[in-house]
Amino acid sequence: MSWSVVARKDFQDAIRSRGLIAMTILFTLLYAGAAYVYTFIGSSSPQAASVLSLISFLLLPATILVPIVGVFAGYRAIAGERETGSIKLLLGLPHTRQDVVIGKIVGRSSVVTVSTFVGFLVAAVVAAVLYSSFPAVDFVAFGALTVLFALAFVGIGVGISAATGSTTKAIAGGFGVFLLFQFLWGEIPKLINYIANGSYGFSGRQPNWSYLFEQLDPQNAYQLAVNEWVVQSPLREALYQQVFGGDPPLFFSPWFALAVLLAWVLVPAGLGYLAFERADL
Amino acid sequence: MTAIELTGVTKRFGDVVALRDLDLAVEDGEVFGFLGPNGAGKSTTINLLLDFARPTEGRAEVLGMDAQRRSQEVRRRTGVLPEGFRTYDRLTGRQHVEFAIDSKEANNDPMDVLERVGIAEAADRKVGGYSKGMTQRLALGMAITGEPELLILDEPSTGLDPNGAREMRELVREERDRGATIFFSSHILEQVEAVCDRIGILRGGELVAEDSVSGLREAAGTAQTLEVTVSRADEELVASVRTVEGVSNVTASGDRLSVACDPDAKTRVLERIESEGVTVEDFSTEEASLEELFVSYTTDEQAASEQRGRTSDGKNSEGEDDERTESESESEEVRA
Repeated sequence: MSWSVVARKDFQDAIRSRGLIAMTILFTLLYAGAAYVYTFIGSSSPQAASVLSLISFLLLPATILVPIVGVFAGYRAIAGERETGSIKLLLGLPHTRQDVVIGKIVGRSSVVTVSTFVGFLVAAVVAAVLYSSFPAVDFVAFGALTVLFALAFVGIGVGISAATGSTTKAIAGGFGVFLLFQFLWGEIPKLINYIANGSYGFSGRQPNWSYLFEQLDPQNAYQLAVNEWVVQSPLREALYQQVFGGDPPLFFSPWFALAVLLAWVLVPAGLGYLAFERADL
Repeated sequence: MTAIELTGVTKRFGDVVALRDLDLAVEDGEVFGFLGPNGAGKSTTINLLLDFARPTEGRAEVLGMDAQRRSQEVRRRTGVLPEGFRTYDRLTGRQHVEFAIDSKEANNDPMDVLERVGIAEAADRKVGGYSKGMTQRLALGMAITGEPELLILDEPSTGLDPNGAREMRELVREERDRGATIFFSSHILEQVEAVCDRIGILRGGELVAEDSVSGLREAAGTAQTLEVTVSRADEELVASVRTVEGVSNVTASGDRLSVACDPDAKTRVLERIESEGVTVEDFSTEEASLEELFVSYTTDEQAASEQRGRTSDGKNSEGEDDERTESESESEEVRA
């Protein structure tokens, strides 16, 4: 269990960083602040505001902010140690490079989890006080999915950090990936269609493979999982009925979305590890 | 048993050859001094032993195990004080040692370790506020936790004041007496001379000497230094004296010339100085120190021979003609 020693050390170290404190404040402001502000803009009276519509309201900013936080928490994990030379102290001790990557993922994930947890806890207190009803289970589910979503970007951040020896490359790569998901991912199926058929957009209904591709984007997967399991808006059902004339394909299942998020934690980290394993330090 | 064994190890970084067909054996229980100027390949060698880097060719074994394939096992039984490391500035000294103890599954008391390296009073301070010397002591403490069979110390006196360096050497002796093998890498001879049983000198990625300290001292004793006070000690004179047969090194300071040479070359040196039109005012002979031997092993003879090629002229006596021709053709190649 050598990785757990690395994880504990990494957590001890990272939890004391100013960056983490800033991150926690950011989360707290976002979630608790939004919970408070939403009582004014979400409905006519504070008592009528519902936690579920608050979650809907929070989903978009969280989709953008959480990846940035995840990448930020992960990008220095290994590249930073290689740049400063503390990796020599770390690997002078009997840890394998696999232990280091796993330990770093777990350590940084714990840090992000703590930070998200604090933000959600404060928001829960605000919501419990101000809102007429507080569905704790829904709120916890939203928190848990948000943590998993953050971990996907921790995995991406640590993976890139492991693959490159420089924090500059790691942060650029991490934000590059974020921008890819944020702005470009949805265009890729259209581009493929343009290459294959000569027209950029789809005429008529999008083919299923393009929907599948879109659902591989961790941001889409996160939103889908939250909508299906927490918000459970009837509008979504109606939309599926309209587009697919009944049940949507399997990859619109929240379980599929969960698997996608997990894959984004593990696959980039695994690829990063393979590059790190071969590197001369 | 052999604690460290390198067999035909070559390490290339792109076009740069850091180590060239290196063979090296460190016996169990000895204190081995690994000497060489900066950039000679000492840290590269250590990086290969710890699997921070992999050899391009050849094989490294530590404690009888393949250093690459069984690296974790190697490092479980080895204490490492790396060169150019950084600590975790937000953690305390105690936390660092605890991390080393947990990593090695050892059962030391962290305070005992910090006591031994002399920073117990700073145990609960964040390492970010430590001086360079304290950081070095901390890393040494991390290295000796778990009573390793082998200690690899890369430039261990970095950042230490003379007193700290002496304490570090004492600790090395204690560890040796406990039965540990010590691989002590340094570019400073006196550090190594004071504590090591055997010394290997690395230069340009090759082992140029390997002997016991007394053996090297003997070798040094056969060479001598001729100290000459002259009327004019300029570059031209230095270059000319360098070409005299049996001379290994010449340095000038003020009106004094230090010539490292074979005992039978002394007369030729004095003759050469006179033939350059320079008056010898005084001269004395000293036995070469180990330091001078080290310098002669590690200074760039290539550059010196090029210098010889360029500056030699008709004033050379018959005997050195062969050597001059060789040097000239060599420097022609360099220019071409």
